[in-house]
Amino acid sequence: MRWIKLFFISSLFTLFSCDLGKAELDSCLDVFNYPSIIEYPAIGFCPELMDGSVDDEIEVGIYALEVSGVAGIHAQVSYDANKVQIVDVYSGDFFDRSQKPIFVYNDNGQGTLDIYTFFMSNEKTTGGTGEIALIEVKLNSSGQSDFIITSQSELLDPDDVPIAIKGFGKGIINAK
Amino acid sequence: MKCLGFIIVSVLSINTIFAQNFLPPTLGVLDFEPRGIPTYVSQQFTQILREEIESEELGIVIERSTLLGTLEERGYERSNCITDYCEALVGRLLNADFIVSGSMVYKDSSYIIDANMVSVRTGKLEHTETIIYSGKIEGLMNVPERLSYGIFNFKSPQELAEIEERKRMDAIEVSNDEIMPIEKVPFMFPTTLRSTLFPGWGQFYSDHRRLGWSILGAEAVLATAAIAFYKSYEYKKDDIDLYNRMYAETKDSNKIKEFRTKVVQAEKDHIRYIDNFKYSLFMFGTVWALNITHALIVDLDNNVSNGPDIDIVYNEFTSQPQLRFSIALD
Repeated sequence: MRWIKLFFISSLFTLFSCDLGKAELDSCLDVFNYPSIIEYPAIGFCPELMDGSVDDEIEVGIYALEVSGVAGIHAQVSYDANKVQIVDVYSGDFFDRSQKPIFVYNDNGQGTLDIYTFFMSNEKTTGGTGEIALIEVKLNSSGQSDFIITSQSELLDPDDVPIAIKGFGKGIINAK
Repeated sequence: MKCLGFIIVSVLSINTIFAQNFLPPTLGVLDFEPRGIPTYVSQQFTQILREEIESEELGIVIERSTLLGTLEERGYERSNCITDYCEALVGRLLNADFIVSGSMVYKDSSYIIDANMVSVRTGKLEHTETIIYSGKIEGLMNVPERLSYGIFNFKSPQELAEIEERKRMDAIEVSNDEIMPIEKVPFMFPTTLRSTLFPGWGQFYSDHRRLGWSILGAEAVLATAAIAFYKSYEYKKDDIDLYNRMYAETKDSNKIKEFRTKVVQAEKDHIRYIDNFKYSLFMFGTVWALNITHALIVDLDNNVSNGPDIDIVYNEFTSQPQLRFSIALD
């Protein structure tokens, strides 16, 4: 009797082993992954929540979300200069077309990073969701520090007319 | 002194009485009458018999020569004296207590030996012994030992040994019987075993066919449902993997929304199917367990049909229901 039970149970496990599938919805192009942003168009951080250890260098993306008719972007990032340090800033692919976009950034080392980029392709404007820049950050001390898109940020059309930004993203870095 | 003399006389008298009681009887053993065998065989046989009686101290045997001489002296022929009365008279002449005579017949490859012991005092037949021997003639000469005891109505040592051996063998047989169960104990839960192995089988076995079909049908439906849910679960899992991959690879925000919706829906369905599969499997197991329980009850009912019964009955005197405990005495 015993071996029959063992055989039966092991057969059941073999035939009906349940491996639960899980949705992995962590794309930075998915606006649902920006919980701090309620309205669009917006500028946000991806990911919004990051963890790392002191002296680690981590990457944070800055994304334009649900924008349309945009030709230029000015994103001003406020951060805690006592806890983190901007190592480098790279251009994102949102404005990548036949021609590379103009990309300039300025970090004052006091907690404000200004990123300027302009669409240079023949289409003049672009829209949707995409990466504006990638920031490389070094964690100097432990604790939580915030990255905030300030209200000084701008979305501009081809005629330099500002497009209203309705959402300003916020990112949090936890350094251990 | 008088007392001492009385004691001595008493002791001597008792001694004399006991000595007389334990004196073996005097026997005259006549040659057995041969029928169908040579005379010398019967004479040899009788002689061995005499020697056996003597050697076993069963009696004092009168020498054959003395016996024949006495008869011849008187002019008697042995063949003329075959009755018990005549033999008793011969014994009287020989001053014997008993006369032993007999015959040896060879018939159907067997020797039939009859021996008679006649009391000289009463003239009557005291005892007769018949031995049938089948075998070679050499073995015939072993019969007198047994016969010597037989005519005194005793068991020979050989016979006693045989009886003892027979008893010993019987005892061994009995002990073997105790070790080996005479009656094979039947398995008491045949219905349960069948129902455990296959749902409904026990019910068919115990003639509960309707219930058997019901259980079998229910199990079949539940098993089919479980398999269907499991397959759906597998399909949805594949969908999740597919849409996850497409969601991760696309750059189009509209497609991302579409794939997000699909993957979320697939995940919901996936969880629902696995839950349904679990419920089906649980129900399948429950029905199986109930089927085993029923089979067990059937077996127990069969096993304890003669056991005590407890019933709820109505007591007319108290006008109340009560429990009745009864045991069948048959």
